[in-house]
Formats: sequence, C-alpha cells, structure tokens
Amino acid sequence: MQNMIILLLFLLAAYVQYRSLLKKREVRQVVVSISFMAVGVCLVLLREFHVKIPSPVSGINLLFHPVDLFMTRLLG
Amino acid sequence: MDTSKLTIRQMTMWFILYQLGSAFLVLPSNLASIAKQDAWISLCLVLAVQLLMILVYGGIAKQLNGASFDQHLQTLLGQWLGKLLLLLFTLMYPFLILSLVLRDLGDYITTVILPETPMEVIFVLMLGVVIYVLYCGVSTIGRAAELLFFIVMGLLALGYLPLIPSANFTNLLPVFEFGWKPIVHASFTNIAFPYIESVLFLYFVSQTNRPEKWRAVVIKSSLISGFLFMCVTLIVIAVLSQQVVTSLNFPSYFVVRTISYSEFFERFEIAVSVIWFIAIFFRMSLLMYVSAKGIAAVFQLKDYRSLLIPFGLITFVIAGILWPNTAILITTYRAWPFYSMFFGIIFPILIWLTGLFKQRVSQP
Amino acid sequence: MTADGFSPLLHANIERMKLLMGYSSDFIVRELVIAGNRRTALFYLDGMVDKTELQDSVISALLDRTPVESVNLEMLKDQVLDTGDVCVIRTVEAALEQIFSGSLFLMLDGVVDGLSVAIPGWEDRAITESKTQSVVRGPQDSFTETLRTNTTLVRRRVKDTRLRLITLKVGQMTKTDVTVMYMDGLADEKQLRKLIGRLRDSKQDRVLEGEYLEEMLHERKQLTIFPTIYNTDRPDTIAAGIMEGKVALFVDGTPFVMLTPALFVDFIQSAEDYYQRPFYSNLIRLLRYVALSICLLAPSVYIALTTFHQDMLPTQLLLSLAAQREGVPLPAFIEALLMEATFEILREAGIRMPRTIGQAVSIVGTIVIGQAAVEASIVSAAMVIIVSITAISSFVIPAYVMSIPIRIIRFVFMALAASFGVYGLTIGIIILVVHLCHLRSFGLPYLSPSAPFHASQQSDAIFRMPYWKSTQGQTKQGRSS
Repeated sequence: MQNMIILLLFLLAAYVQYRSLLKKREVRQVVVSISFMAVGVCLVLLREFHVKIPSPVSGINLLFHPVDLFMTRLLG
Repeated sequence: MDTSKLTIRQMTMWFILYQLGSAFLVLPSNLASIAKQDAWISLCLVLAVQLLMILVYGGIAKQLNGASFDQHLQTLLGQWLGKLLLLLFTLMYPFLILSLVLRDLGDYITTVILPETPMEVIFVLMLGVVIYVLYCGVSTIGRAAELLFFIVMGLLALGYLPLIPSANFTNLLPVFEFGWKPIVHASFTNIAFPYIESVLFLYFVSQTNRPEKWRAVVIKSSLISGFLFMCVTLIVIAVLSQQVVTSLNFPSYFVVRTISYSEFFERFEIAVSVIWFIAIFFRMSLLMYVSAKGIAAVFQLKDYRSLLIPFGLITFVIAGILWPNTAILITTYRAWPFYSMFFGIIFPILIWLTGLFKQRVSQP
Repeated sequence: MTADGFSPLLHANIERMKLLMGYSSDFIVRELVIAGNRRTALFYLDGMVDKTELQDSVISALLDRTPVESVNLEMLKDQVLDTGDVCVIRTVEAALEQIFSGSLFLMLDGVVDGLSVAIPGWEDRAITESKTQSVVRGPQDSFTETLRTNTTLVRRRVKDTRLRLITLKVGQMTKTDVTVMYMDGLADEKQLRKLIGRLRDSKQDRVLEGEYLEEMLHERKQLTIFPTIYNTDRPDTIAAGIMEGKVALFVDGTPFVMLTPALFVDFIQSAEDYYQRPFYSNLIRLLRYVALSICLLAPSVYIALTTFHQDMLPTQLLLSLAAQREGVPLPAFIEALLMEATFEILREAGIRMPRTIGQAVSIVGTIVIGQAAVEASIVSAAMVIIVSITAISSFVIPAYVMSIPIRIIRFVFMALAASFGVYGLTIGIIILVVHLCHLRSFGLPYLSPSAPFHASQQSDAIFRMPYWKSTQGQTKQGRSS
C-alpha cells in the first residue's frame, strides 16, 4: 500500500516535470526519462506483488566472495 | 565570478562530508573486528594508499584539460565505446552505491532511532531532499556544504571531545599484537569505502573555477577526513576496548551514549545521528549527481535534471531489495571492497595509462 | 481627448476643465483680471495648495505687479510670479497632472498654453518615531507619506554628488510618484536598469503601497516565502544601504521605503548595531541568531524529544514532564499546534486592537488563558513555556518581514518532528538550508557573504568589526569587483 502511495507521488512529480519539458520541446529528455521511469514503475509494481527481484548484490557476492576467502586465508 | 560553479572551499567541504558519510558509524567495528586494537594503524595504511591513488587521479585530471570526464572517455575510446563504458561504469558503481548508502541509512534509523517507521518512508524523505537539491544545482549544494560543514564539525566536537577524559588509552595496547597481516586485511574495507570512490570526484574537475587545484582539494579532504576517522576510531577503541567494539553494530553511536557529566550533559547520541544524516545527504547528492550526469552524457541530454525523478524511484526500490537479512549484509560487506577496487583502482589506472599512451602517440 | 491642447478662448477652457473634473467641489477656478484688461483663470484643488503662497506669491503678484504692456506667459513666468517651480504647459493631460500634484494652473485669455506654478501645501504627518523599528540610541526620525519629505531625509544624510534620483509615475489610476535613489558608481548598473524597466512596464492600475510594486520586482521564477526586498521607515537604514551600493525605492503615499538587493543577513541586522559599541552589538547579534534558532526549532525539538527520543532527556526532567503530561489528553504535536495557533491569533488580534483595550487583552491572553489551560489539563505547563519562549524570540528579529516565514516554517518543522522525530527535523533543516542557499536577491546569492564565502566581506556580515578596522570604502556585496 505504501509503495503505491509513494509511486503516485513520484508519478505526480514526473508528470509536472514532463509538462514543463514538453513545453520547451525537449523530446529527447522526455523519452529517456520516461524509459527510466518505466523501469522504476515496473520495479515498484513487482515489489508490490511480492515478486522476488534478484538483488545486484548477489552478483557481487558470487564473483567476489571467493576473493574475500582467498584474502582472508592469505592474511589471516 | 561565476556563481554557478563550485568554489574550492565548497568542494573541499563537500568531499569531506562525503567521505565522513560513508563509514563514520560502522568504521570502527569493521576495522577492529579484523585488526583489533591496531585499527588506527590500518587507517594510516589506508591513507597511504589513497595518496598513491590520488597521483593517478590527479594524472587523469590533468589529462582532462578542461573537458568533462565523459568527454574525455569518448576522446580516448571513441564515441561508442566511451559511451558504453560510461554507461556500465555509472550504473555499476555510483548508481549502485547510491542504493547501498540509502539502505545503510534506513537500517540504521530503523534499528536505533525510529524502530516503528517503515523504511520506505525514510527512503522517500531522503530521496526527496536529494532530488530537490540536485534540481537546484551544484552551486547550491556547495553553499549548503559550506554552512552545514560547521554544524557537523561542531556536533563532532560536542560528541567526541567529552569522551577523552574517560578514554583508557591502554586499550590500544599491545601494538602490533597480531602482526601486520590483520592490519593490511582490515585496510581493504576502508580503502574501498570511501576513499577510492574519489575517482568519482573526477566529475568535478570541470565544475569549479580553478580546475588546477582539484588535486590539492582531494588531498586536503582525504587527509582531513582521515584525521577525523583516526580520532574517532582512537577514541572509540580507547573508551570501549576492542572486544566491545567488535561486537557492536554501531560503535560510534554507542560510545557517545557513555558520556555522562553531572547528569545533564548526557545521552547526546542523537546529536551524533544528526551528523550522519547530514553527511549521508551530501554523499547521496554527490552520487546521484555523478550518476545523473554520466547517464545524461551517454544519451547526450542537455540537462541531467530530467533523470532525477526516475533515478529516485529506481533507487528507492533497489535499496529495499539489497539484502533481506543481516547475514547477506555481512557477506556483502566483505566482498564489496574488491568490487570497489576494480572501479576505483583498476579502472582509473587503465584510463590513465590509456591517456598517457595517447599523449605519447600524438606527440611525435 | 485630453492629450491635445487648449483653445485660445478662456471661457471655453474654463468650461472644459470644469467638465473634465466633473464639477467637483474641491476644484477651484479663480478668475482674475490683470494688467487692466487681461482675463486670467487660476485652477487648483482646494487643500492641495499652500494658501499663503497662493495669496502672496501668486494672486497678489499677479494683481499688483503685472506691468501693463504686453502680457504673455513668458513675462509672467520671468518677472511677475514669485514662486520657485514654474513651467509652461501645453496639453490638457499635463495640466491635470500638475493640478493633481498640488500645483496651480494658470491660463491667459487668448493664449493656448498655460503655466503651472508649484505651490504644494497639503497636510502632512509630522516626522515622528519609527513605529516598527525603534532604537535606543540613534536617530528617531522616520519617513512620512510625502515623497519629497522622504527623499530629503536621505539627501540630508548623503551629501554626495553621486546620489541620483529618478522619478517615475506608476499606476493608471493613482499615477503614484515613485523615486529610485542610488549612488552612481556603487550600484549595479544592470540590476538598476532591470528595476526601472520593470517599473516602467508595470500595468497596474493602482499603486497604494510599496507592496504593489514589490511583488513585481521579485525574481520571476523564484517561489519563496522569504523576503528578498527589504523595507523600512528609517532614513538612516536607507542611507546606509544606498552607500553600500543598494538601490532604494520610494513610493509616494507610504512611509515604507524599499531597498534592493536584500540578503538574509540584512534582515537580522538592526540600525542600532552601528550605534553601540562593537562588543555589545556583536553579543546582541549573536543573541538574535540564537533567538532565531529557538523560534524555529524549540517546539519541534520538544515534540521530537518527548515523542520519540525520551531517552535523551535527563531522568529528572523526563519524570517531571511525564507527570505533567499525565492528565493531558492530547499528543504532544496537537498540544503544540493548539498553543502556537492560539498565540498567533492573540498576536494578530493585538495588532488590530484599539490601544486602550490592548493592554488588558495581552494580560488576559497570556497569563490567564495559559494558566487556565494548564490547570484544566488541556496543555502541559512545559508547553506553555516553550510557546512563550518561541513567541518572544520571534520578536527579537528586527525585520518583521523575516519573522513571518520563520513562524510558518516552525509549523512545518513541528509536523516533521511529530512524524519522524529527529530524522524528520534534520531533513527539514536540510531542506531549509538548501532553499536559502538557492535563493537569489537581484542576482546575489541570498546567503552571501557566508555562502559563498568571501573573506573580504566578513567585516560586517554576522559580526561587526570596529569602525577603525573595517573597510568602509567598499560595498558590502562587492558586485562590481
């Protein structure tokens, strides 16, 4: 529920911004911004429906945990 | 004088606050858990590495020659490769750290200060302020840094100087009890977090009135923040002894709780939290700025401001999903330094060398 | 219709003027016959001209001293009329303008032009003390409603040829005289021209007070509750401002004169700071900043501490606060809101109330209501103390316009503190600082000279250096450098 309210806030702010941008005919900025916005909205919706999103941190852990183990052994 | 650029003073203060913001609260326990009471020596090592890296960063700064960082990348590697590299770099480094920092803040607040407030709300408040200030522009952030810097310093003094009388410096002995290996090991975390993030400061070479002073600014701010870290760590370990420090989540916060003079001057730890909130604010502003500028350059946008709201939303979500429990948090913290070093050490060295190479080639 | 000239026939002109003025009862037409046979008419507004001058310098002069041979306007102007400012008027519109400004308009039979004779003499308020910014030591005079009196008060203080005045008329219906005063060479040329341009382009129909113009002069895209234009009724402040390179705007009809650009520090400084010894003045300035912080933060800190962070209070205090709040049914935030709102009502009522009742109501309001509320357990005693301190602190700010945004923001901070404790309060403070850092007043950053920091201008920013130390030759803003 909270997430939706917050999403609404962001969308409102975005709407205000897009209006002023379109008035200045800055199409490129609007397009790029809307794309990122779409990503954000998807993410929020996924969260809202409790879909598990993989955390970027898992990738980091996967790659670098062995390095950490190695270093610990080296310098333990 | 162009009032839309940063002055040297403002930049220095912003960088100091940025570096403070990262590890101030958890630093002592990170260091002490590995290096025990020699944590402060670790810091010396960290600063030494930072100064070495500043040579590299400074070298890149000189190579920039007035261009902005993204333009430089494109000059070096051609338009497409440069942009691709910039995109990957920005998404994987500053943008990710942004979520990390926000999540850190959220964890701290829900643990210690406002346990009943949902983390999402905490996120939105901070994101709101950061987005607002970035809308206002870099010079506004600079001015705000100038002002809030003194409040932060004042609170630091207020929080930590009264501890000195109750500090038991024998807690720092014996020195070198476990040899140099733990010291080196412990320094990894702090090198990564925050110092080699200074590579991000390269975005500011073009934002100031006197670009030739950039290197001096980074050196000065690193030394000052390092000194402050040193003092805090020393005091924390001296007052609490290293075993306690290792077992605490937020030792810097806890130690201020122990101040007690005449029953009135006690329990100032909230003031210390304020330090952290302000420092986190500046940290996130810088990270968001770098991210937005980077992506704006990739897509050749005139203004980075249009990206702020989407980035805020994405950061909001990612910060929520970073780690579901403390165990993963700990693992991440141990793996993170190496990830960060890739971007903060290897990447800049490569860029620098490429730049040198190109200069040699173009000079017959 | 009124931009054209007169007819040579005097009686036609008289009829026309009377018609234009709608046969108003204060519009006087005095017909004379001078030099034996020339018919003349004098037009003026009763109450606007100086009767004595009218009598002696104009009517007597005309009747007694006009030589008989060829009477024309030039001759009247050069040889007969005793008064100062006499000009030839060619259009009806100009004639009306002059009449409305307190001049006499003279027409000769057979001549299409007329003469305007400036003999203003309306009732003016005497020069009294400033009602809004009084000082203990220093000049006690303040501006009145007449433009010329006001500009003179400043002229007397700045005896320099570089002091310039530019007068315009603004407002379709009111045609208010507006004077822009500045020091040539010290004021920012670009901003000055922008200011005058905006005044000239103003399409307002009525300009009764500076505020009508002030809103036009603000930076266009900046939405803020903080004042970016300073106004005062003290001539010494205006004079000092002009000598620092600021531009003053006088509006006829109001004793409040505007000064631009206005920075944050200007609103915290008082004229008195310059009339007392530096040590004392600096202490008082420090006190003002402390009072400012109290006014802004006290209720919020109280709410944050009692709602979220009880462990920060010393145990004794905590126990007594808890005991006080025992019987109070309301949460701290509502309590604070009620008390602050009540105080604002009292404050506003106090301004409008007739003098005689004012005293009684303030006693009733503050002591009786406060005390009774505590005893009825509607609010806690600590809350009454906090609200009183906050209110009194807000009066320490010398410029009334600055206390308004502080009072408003106080409520916002209270809400933030009530919802998110010290975190919310910090966020609020950060937003406030950022907003102030972002503001500009006529091109200058609002928080100069602290942020961005100019070491050379610190001699009178927050604390004042003694006069033998400070460099008074420079402008405070140093824009031209």
